[in-house]
Order: sequence, then C-alpha cells, then structure tokens
Amino acid sequence: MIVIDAHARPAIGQSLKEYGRGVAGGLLFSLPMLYTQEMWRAGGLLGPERLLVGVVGTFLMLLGYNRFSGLRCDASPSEVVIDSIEELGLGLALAALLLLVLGGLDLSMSGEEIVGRIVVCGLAVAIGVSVGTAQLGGDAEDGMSDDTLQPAGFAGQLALAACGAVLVAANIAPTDEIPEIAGAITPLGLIALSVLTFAVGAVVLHFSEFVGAKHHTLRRNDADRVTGILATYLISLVAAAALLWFFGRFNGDGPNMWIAQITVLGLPTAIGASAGRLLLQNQQ
Amino acid sequence: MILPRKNWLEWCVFAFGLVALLGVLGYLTVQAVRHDGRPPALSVEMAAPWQQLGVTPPYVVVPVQVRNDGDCAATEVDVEVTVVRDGKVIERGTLNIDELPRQSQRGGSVALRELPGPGELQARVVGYADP
Repeated sequence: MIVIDAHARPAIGQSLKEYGRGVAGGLLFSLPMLYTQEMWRAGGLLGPERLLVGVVGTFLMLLGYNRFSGLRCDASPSEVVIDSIEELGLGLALAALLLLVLGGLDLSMSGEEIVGRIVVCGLAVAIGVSVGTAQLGGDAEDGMSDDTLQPAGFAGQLALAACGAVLVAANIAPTDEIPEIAGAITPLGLIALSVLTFAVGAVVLHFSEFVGAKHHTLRRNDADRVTGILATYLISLVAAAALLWFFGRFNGDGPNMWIAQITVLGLPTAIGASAGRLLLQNQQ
Repeated sequence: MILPRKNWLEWCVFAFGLVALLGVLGYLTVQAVRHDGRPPALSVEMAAPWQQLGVTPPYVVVPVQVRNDGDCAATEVDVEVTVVRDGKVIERGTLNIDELPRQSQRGGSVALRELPGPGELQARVVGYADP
C-alpha cells in the first residue's frame, strides 16, 4: 500500500536552496575530475559493461550515503531511493552541461562516446551533489538538527569511507602517473608507502583530533581503535582496486603491477576513507 | 511504502533523474549485449589536398579522417600518407591520433612539401595500441 508522508510539503524556495547546495557541492567536489582530460578519454575508451558496473556501483554508494549521512536522518527507504535518483540525474545533467561548455563534447562524436563521457564524469558529480545537499547547508532547519543527529554504525562508516575514498581518488585513478609511479617504485618504496598509508588513517581517526573523529569513530577500547584503522585501510585498498579496474588500469599487467598500482593509489583513497569520510558527515 | 511529500519541482527533478538513470542503464545494456569484442577496424579517408601558402616554408595539407568500426577502442593510432609516383614513394608524412573509441572517428592533417598529382596519394594505418 502506498501512503503519503504526513510531513508538510516543502516550499519551492526551500527545494531550490537544497538543489543550489547540491550543484555547489557537485562542482566543489568534482571539478578536478571534470577538468581532467583522462576522465573524458576514459568515457570513450571504456566498454559499456564497465560503465554499467560504474552506474550501479555509484547508485549503491549514493544509497549508502543517503542512508547513513544524507540530508534527512529520519528518511524512509523510499526517500533514500528517491533522493539518490534525483542526485544521479542532477550529476549527469551537470556533467553534460560542463562538458559541453568546456569542449568535452561535440556533435562529431558517436552516441556511445558522448554517453560514456557524460556517465564517467557524471558519476563523480552525483556523489558531490549528494554531499553538497547534505553538508553545505548553513541552517539547521534545512536538514537535521543537533538533537536528531545519530552517528552511523560500523557498516555505515564503511559505506561512507568508500564514498570518501572514491570522491578523493576518482580523478587520480585514470591518470598515467599511477602506472608510471607503480612501474618505477622499488619494493622498499612500496612497503614505506603502505606504512605511510596505514599511519595516515591512524593519525586522522585517532591521534589528531580531526573534526568529527570523536563522534564518528568507535573508541571504547584499543581493539575498537585497531579494528577501525584496519577496516579503513582495507576499504581504501578495495576502493583503489575498484577504481583502477573501472578505468582499465589492470589491462595487460601482471599481479605485481596490480599490487603496486593499488598501493600507489591507496594513499589518496586512505585519505578519502579517513579524513574525507569524517568531513562527509554531519558535525557536532 | 511511504511516499515522501514533495512539491512539483522535486517531483520534476525526480522524474528527470529516473528517466536519465533508466535511459543510461537501458542504453548501456543494449550496447553491452551488442558488444562482441571485435578488434578495432580502422579505415582511412583523405580529402582533397590544398596548399598553405601564407607561411614559410609553404606546405601542402592533406586532411585525413580515421574511423573505427570495431568493437574495441584503439590508442596511439599511427597513419602514414605517401605520395607514390611511377611505383616509387617520393614523399611520406605521418599522423598520430591519441585515442579512437569504438564506432567513432577522428580527424587531422598530414603536411607534405609538394602538391601530389591525381591518384598519387595513398594512406594506411601503420599501427595502434590497445588502451
């Protein structure tokens, strides 16, 4: 049975403010991607199967973000889905508009290339739209009040860590620098980079009093802290591997090169999964 | 299912988002089903050459279009344009195209010293890399 929510219908002005914040957030978080030619190229070079996986994966991340840290903490499942669809649509539209203005689209391209470019850029913009709508509001009445704020649980934090990792590292993953660095780095360098990546997560989450860290991390005992740091590290590696696979960076390479590339991209994804994740959530 | 109370603007944005999402999913699904992994199929076409006289030294411009009718993209596509007279290659020019997605085309020009005669121009793809 379909029931209409009993809450008052929002005013048009209020909706416009939310969309304005979403557009600002989309631009703020994804302009580096839209200004990266490798992102444009990826849209033409990736196959449709990979783009489909990208659309589905991004939609799942939007669902996760809206469920655990979206604009409304009391959102029903249908509201989470509706918000995610809106944000994906806005992300695709914003990416198409900017690509058109920046010269990233022209009518001589095939339909597949045009759709590919819009999809690759639009997915990252959509996450920015979602974050901007929820986090850039200055008025507590627009969204959650402090009284209703609830920190996301462990699963929620993992979902938000994935969003942060993708948001920070999506424009780095398709660049030629990743395979170049991975091909040149020594085994000792890889070990040092892994230690540094792990240390960055630990410092951000538990030692630097980073904004929101106290509220959004489990810290009842040392086991909680170690589990949180390990989980963040693991998520950052998984996000790095997923991004590299999406952009075809594993094609033709052996396992050693895969590991090296994941380790190299692991540092930006770890920053996104730790500092980025905390900044993506409502602060108290 | 509880439907949120929304104004007409929000429902319009939602409808647009739904159409965009379903449209992209549908389009990509159709492309994925049709995609059979054929290697790049590159063909080269040349337009009539013309002389660029306002520069030093002057040169002849040969516009070139390369089309990929395959199912896979090609990168670093090298195209060679030659002027063949009496069975001998008397001039050679090359063009490099960074990327050529599947079912798409890219254009450029090759510069030669002399204006070739009718039927003397030949073009071919020399090589390409997989993305």
